[in-house]
Amino acid sequence: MLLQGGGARNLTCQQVRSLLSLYLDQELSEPRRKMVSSHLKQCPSCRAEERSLTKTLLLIHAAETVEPPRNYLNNKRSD
Amino acid sequence: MNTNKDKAISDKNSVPCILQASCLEEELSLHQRYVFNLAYHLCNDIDDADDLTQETFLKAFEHLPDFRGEASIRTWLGRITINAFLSKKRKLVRHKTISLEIIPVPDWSANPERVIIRRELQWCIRHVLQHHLREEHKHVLILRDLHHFGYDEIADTLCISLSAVKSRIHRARKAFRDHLVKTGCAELVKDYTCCCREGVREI
Repeated sequence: MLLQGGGARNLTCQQVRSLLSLYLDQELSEPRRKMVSSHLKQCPSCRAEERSLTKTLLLIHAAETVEPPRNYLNNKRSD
Repeated sequence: MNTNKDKAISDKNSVPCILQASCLEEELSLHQRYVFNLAYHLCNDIDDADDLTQETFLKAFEHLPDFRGEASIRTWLGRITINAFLSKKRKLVRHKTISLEIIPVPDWSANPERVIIRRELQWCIRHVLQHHLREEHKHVLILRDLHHFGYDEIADTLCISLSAVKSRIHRARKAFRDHLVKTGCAELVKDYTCCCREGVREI
């Protein structure tokens, strides 16, 4: 879907969805970020996709970390 | 999640002192937890992670003269860890096939409900990472979303272009989500039996 209102600067849904990871990681240029943000405000379908990806990230971020069982540098300098 | 300690480590990465032998051991020691967790997320096994971490630091010391400080020490150690993991995996695949039967299923029956839910979640994350993602997707997800690498760092660590990192991260996240949601694996936490149609991807 190409949303109306911004002329040639509009992004299609496909373009927006391909940029969602970069958008969530704040890796887009400011003009491009605004274009994606503007599209998301008007497009429920892409907004749902964004929410879904955000939930996925929250899930992955919940992965546990573990403590190393020992010091791996002991005696290495003398090897 | 990045901590102040992580930031301190990151800041120190760019300090030329790292090239001096007297500083190096201290710098390496600060990254033990990071390397061990990276190894753990790659291997999905504490003992294998222990072996891989030891191998990583042995190689790091062996190749110390080659380290020029062009990449951060975190990136350098990450590259060594992943290369050692891939090398080990290539040897493993000649000898055995991973199957669902050997996935450990802990007995959490006596634990409080919240703990069980959290552990189910952890099992689920590790299971999908380990068995249902392409290796290249698994690596970028671990580096970006579990270890919070920047895109540039991932490109340096995996020796791929920045544009490849960008597209790979997005594909990896979608693959992770799609696997959980669309293939039925979202149900796997109920009985720890993966019922997706793709089956277990051999490593």
